[in-house]
This record gives sequence, structure tokens and C-alpha cells, in this order.
Amino acid sequence: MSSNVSTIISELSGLLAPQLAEPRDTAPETDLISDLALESVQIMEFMVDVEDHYDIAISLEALAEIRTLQQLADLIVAMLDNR
Amino acid sequence: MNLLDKFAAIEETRDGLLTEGINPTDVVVEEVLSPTESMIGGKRTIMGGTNNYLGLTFDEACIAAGQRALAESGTGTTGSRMANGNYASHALLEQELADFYGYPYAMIFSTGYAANIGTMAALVGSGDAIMLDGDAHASLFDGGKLSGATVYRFKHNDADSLDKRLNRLGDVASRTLVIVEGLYSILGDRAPLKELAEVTKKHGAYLFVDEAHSLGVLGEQGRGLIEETGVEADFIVGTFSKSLGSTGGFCVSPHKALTLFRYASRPYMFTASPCPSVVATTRAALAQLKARPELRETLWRNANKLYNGLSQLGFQLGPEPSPVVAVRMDSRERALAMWQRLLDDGVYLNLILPPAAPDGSALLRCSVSAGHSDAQIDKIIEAFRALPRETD
Repeated sequence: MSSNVSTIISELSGLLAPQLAEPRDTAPETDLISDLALESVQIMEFMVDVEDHYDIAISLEALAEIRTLQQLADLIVAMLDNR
Repeated sequence: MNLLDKFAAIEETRDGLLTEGINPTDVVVEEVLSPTESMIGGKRTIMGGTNNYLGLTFDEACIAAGQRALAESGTGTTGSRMANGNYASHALLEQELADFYGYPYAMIFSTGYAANIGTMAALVGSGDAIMLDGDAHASLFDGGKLSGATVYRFKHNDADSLDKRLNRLGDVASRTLVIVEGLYSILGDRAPLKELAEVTKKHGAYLFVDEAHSLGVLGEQGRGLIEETGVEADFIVGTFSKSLGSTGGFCVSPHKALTLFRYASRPYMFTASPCPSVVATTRAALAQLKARPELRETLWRNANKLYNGLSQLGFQLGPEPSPVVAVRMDSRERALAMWQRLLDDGVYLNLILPPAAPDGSALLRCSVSAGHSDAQIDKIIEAFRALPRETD
């Protein structure tokens, strides 16, 4: 499971790149809003890419709980496991 | 941190909007001179951003109808439709809306906002889903929260994105409400309604179309994008506060269940019904909308003139000509400064700052009216021409 999460975090960093004004190093604890200063529009575009990449549907309620890449990766793993 | 501390950040943001002159969130219309002109800051100002698409707010027949209703039925109903506030005129307006759309059932609400949240909250709940266009109006997001359904977004105007997401919902897709707008209020673009309706139908979901900005604007008879595309929606929702120049909202549907929303929609049940004068002016405006297609023709002539004029000046605009003409500014600061310059020059527009615009840009939004004269449209274009260019 942990390797899944770390792989997913790495993939998420790649999906995040188009939303960043300049390349940034990211870590599991990277906060999408306070560290990367993503606007809601950029988060929305990022999440659309994430959903399409993993073929999952993330609700706005679930999204509201997500702050870090680690939390997002945990959610994705849980959704993939429940499929 | 106490309950009130969070307002310090709001106060700071608000104060940051006041660079010079008038704070754009605090514009006071001192006197209304016509549907397209007001006094602001002691100056005669062209109202270039009002949603008053057909310019009916000073229509003689509408004003006379409102005055008669005030005299005959009083200033307010003082109760909900479920109690003492259920007047014959409410039912007449509902019948007229149903007839106008050619749908059997209609229901009116006290505001357009209430129509959206009231319809959504009655229709879906826990265990159901809402699939919302990413650029949908705030009221539709609020309706999702109130409903208790699980809310998902799909990419703006992207039928393929909707299809993928409905696929992912499995059996829940047949208990999903797909929500789109006819004409999007920020950039003035239309939904690809036929494609979205086909995907919705394929998955057995229900289609809800908010025609707030397209009633009276699109379609040969002014019924909106539904009419223009020939699509039949499950629920059409709209407002009286734009083309019809009053306040209130409605939902029409081919489904008899709409008649039971009266017992299931809290925003309908627990609020006072629309005032008699508001219902009367709305009915009169709907009659004008039906009887005077030339208003729509004038609206579109004005919209095309403004869109083409600003485009020729080199401004970056929304994706297609429509009565909503959004002019992109390259920064929040420039948008604020140019909004103020235009106001100083006697032109009021809507200022849209990030993150309100769908792509995070800063916009000056014009909404054109059939009430604008050629000279007023020319004046708006000239005011833009006089703005310092971005490189100046």
C-alpha cells in the first residue's frame, strides 16, 4: 500500500506541473493552497486531470477535506481499492 | 480566534479594492434615469452592466400592471404559498410560464437563487448525485450543498468529460441531476446542449438547465437555449430579474413530480411568496417578451455592435458574441484601474476579479440591453478606446 501511495504522489507531482507558474519541488506534505498558492480554478483543473488519470470521481465534499498531496494520494488509493 | 476574527481578512480584501474614487463593491445608484442610464457619483452614467437584457424595467405596461396590483392587492403577501400567501396571480403566472414553454408544470419562487436551490434540494438528496458544469453559478453549488447529494464537477461545456464522470458513477448515474446553464454569465458562452443532453439521456440521468441569462435572449420566441437547440430538458429554471426586469424565479418541467416540490422544497415553503406588484410586472414583462420579438433583434444588434467594436480595438473578449461581453484585463490591478477610468468617463460595467472568473482572469463585463441606443453603444466603445493600452 505504501509503495502505491508513494507512486501516486510521484504521479500527482507530474499532473500538478501544468498548474504551476514555475517548476517546484513537491513532497507528500506539500499543501496545495498554502505552499503552492494554487487558485481554486487551478485546483479544479488539476482535479479533473487526476480524475481522468485514475478513472475515478472525486466529490466536492471529499475534495474539501484535501490539503496535501499525501491526503490526496490516500484518497485515491482508497477509491481504487474500493472499485 | 473568535467568531468575528475572520472578518478582518474580508475587510482587508475589501479595502484593497479602493484604489481611488468609488469602491466597485459599493457603487450607489443615486437616481435611475432609464433602463440604461443612472446617476452615480453625481454624474450621468451609461449602465453597461445590468442584466436588463430587454430593457423592460421602465416599460409602461409593466409599470401600470405593477401599480394596479399595488392598489388592488397591497404591498406584500405576508405569508408563504403554503399558507395565506397563495394568490390567484401566482397560479396565473405559473400557468403562463407553463404555456410559454409548452411544458405542463410550472412553479415560481421568490428569487432566482431560491428557484435554483429550491428545485435542486427538492429533487436530489443523500444517495443521489449532482453533476455540475465547472463554470456553473454559485447558487447551483449552494443548491448542491443544501440538497445533501454528492456533488461532482465536469469540465466546462465538455460532453466527453460529463460522459466519463457519469460512467464512473455506475448505478448512481440514473439518480444523477446534470446541471448546465444556457448562457454562462461570466464569459457569455453557450452550452453545447444537444451533446450534453445526449450524454445525460444515455446514462438515464436527468437534465436541469438554468436559463437565467438566456430567457428572452436566445431562441426564436425567447425561450432560451432549449428552444434554440430543440432539446427537451427535465427541468428548466430561470429568473425574473434579468430579461423580465423584476425579481423571482421559476421552474418548468414535463414531470408531474414538480407539483409535489411544493411539499418538498424548503426554499419554497419557508419564505414569503412574491409580492403582488412583482408578480404583475413579471406577467406584463412576459407578455412583452412574447409580443415584441423586435426587442430581441435590437438586443442582438447592440450585442454584435459592441462585441465587434471592442474586438476591432484589439481587446481580448469572451469566446462568442452575446449580450454578455467580457473584456479580459491582464491583471487584477489593471482591471480595477480601468474599471475606475471607465466609471469616471461615465460608463458603469461589472468588475469580475479572480477567482470569480472561470479561468481565473480579471474581467470587465458588459451586459448589453435592447434599451441601449446606438449612441450609447458607441460611447462605451469610445470609452474603451480611450483607455491606456497595457504597454503604456
